[in-house]
Amino acid sequence: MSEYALEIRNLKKTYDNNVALKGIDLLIKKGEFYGFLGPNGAGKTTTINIITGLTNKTSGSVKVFGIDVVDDYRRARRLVGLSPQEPNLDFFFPADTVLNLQGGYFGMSSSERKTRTEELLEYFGLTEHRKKPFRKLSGGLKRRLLIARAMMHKPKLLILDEPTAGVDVELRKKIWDSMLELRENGTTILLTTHYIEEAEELCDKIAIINNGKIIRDGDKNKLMEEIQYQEIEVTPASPVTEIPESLKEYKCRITKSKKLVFSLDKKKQSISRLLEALVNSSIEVADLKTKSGKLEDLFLRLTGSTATAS
Amino acid sequence: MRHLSQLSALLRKDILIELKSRETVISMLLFSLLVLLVFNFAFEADSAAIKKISPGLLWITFLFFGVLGLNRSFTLEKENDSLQGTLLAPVDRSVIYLGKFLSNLLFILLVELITLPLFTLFLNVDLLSHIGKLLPILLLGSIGFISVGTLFSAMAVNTKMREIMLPLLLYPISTPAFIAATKCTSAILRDRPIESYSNWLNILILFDVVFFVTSFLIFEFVVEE
Repeated sequence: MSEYALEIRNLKKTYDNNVALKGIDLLIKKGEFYGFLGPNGAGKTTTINIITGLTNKTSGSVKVFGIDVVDDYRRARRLVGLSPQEPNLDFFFPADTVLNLQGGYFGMSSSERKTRTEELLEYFGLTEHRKKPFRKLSGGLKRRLLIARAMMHKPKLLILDEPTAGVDVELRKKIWDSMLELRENGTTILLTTHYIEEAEELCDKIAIINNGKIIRDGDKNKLMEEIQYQEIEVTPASPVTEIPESLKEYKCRITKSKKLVFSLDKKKQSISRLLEALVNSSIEVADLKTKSGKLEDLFLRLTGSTATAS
Repeated sequence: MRHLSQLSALLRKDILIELKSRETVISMLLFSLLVLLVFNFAFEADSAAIKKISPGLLWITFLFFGVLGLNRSFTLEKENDSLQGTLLAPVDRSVIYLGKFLSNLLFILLVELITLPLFTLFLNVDLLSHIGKLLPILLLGSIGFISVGTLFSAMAVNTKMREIMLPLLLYPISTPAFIAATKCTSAILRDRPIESYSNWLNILILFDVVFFVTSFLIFEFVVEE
């Protein structure tokens, strides 16, 4: 069996005259937690739809654990679970029926379905809501049920498309914990999210897609190292109205509250030298805060976007 | 075995939805009642003419409410995007077709069976004494237009004017089945032997086989993307 849980090579997709994917390559190893980020219309959902068989590719290949998703779609689909961004189930059904029917679509026997349904209801804290129709569940419970449904057939690759969209902070943390637990149990996870801090917190690797092309991918920590700038916020003991000559080599601005905000190029400049320069400029430092570059900075720089990913 | 389990899950889903919403069967039944009421006022119940045209009236009624039911069969799937959810599973598209075909057949046959005594009541045509011979024709005629109708319903659901599109597609194609079923019904109601309508019966069976197999095979392409 392939060493990759997901192997996408030169994947292209064209809708009429609109090129959605311009030949993307994406390799996800077994057990990895992979973040897939990109602005609106970048090609994330098209990629996911091709992996799950909802959309036909124009060219290229997609394999799940070495199995082609087109040539052997039935075997491939057994290995993949998708929690979609928008619910795609019948709103009348209560949680337990949703899970039971899903098991039926995957050819599970009645006893298997029953056991697995109980397991998942318990695991996702849905037991007490099992008889509530989907439409009457809260946003967070709906999200949890969608993830539970994706897990019903014990997929080896779980694709989570915006799993925490519209969920409050507390529930988001709970869903994060569930995702981390699934990863620890050996499930490979592909996550798309518009909360970049979510990808930063959870993922081992990240791919950023824009205009149908993957513009950067790799280890999250290595990508973070690409963020060269570090922000230092200095509160002077007495107000400073003009930036002294000795600090001109630093990129600096004065805020409305008379604080000095320096952007240090991590490769060329250091905090200790900045502090020295401050002392030489006779600026007494009352307070100092540092802010490391975030994945969001890299994302915005690479996509040239002013909005968050979605 | 797996296909059977998947088929049973698909069928169970449609039956559960119908039990919860009661939209399809109730609306078909109401429509059937309305059509019979109109026929009742339009034709004099005791006239000899009505005896002659009653097989046609019966099948017109079935076709009218049948289209209503067929239209609903994919509308709910479209509204909730639940067909996409089903397509994520390793289910053959032909099994999805079969599930939809069977649920449509079940709901439409149910309303047809309820319509038979109502037809007798409203139009004073004795159908019930011929029920043994009528039921196979009812089944064959329904299989004919439901097999095509299920396919067209899946096609029409993605169009802007789906309510209009389905009858526009379905009625011309299912005309041979409709005529054959009417002819068979007419012969049965006149107590004619099977030999007198065996040609029509053969046409009906042939239509069923050809269109069921064709629809079964091409459904996959209809639900792609």
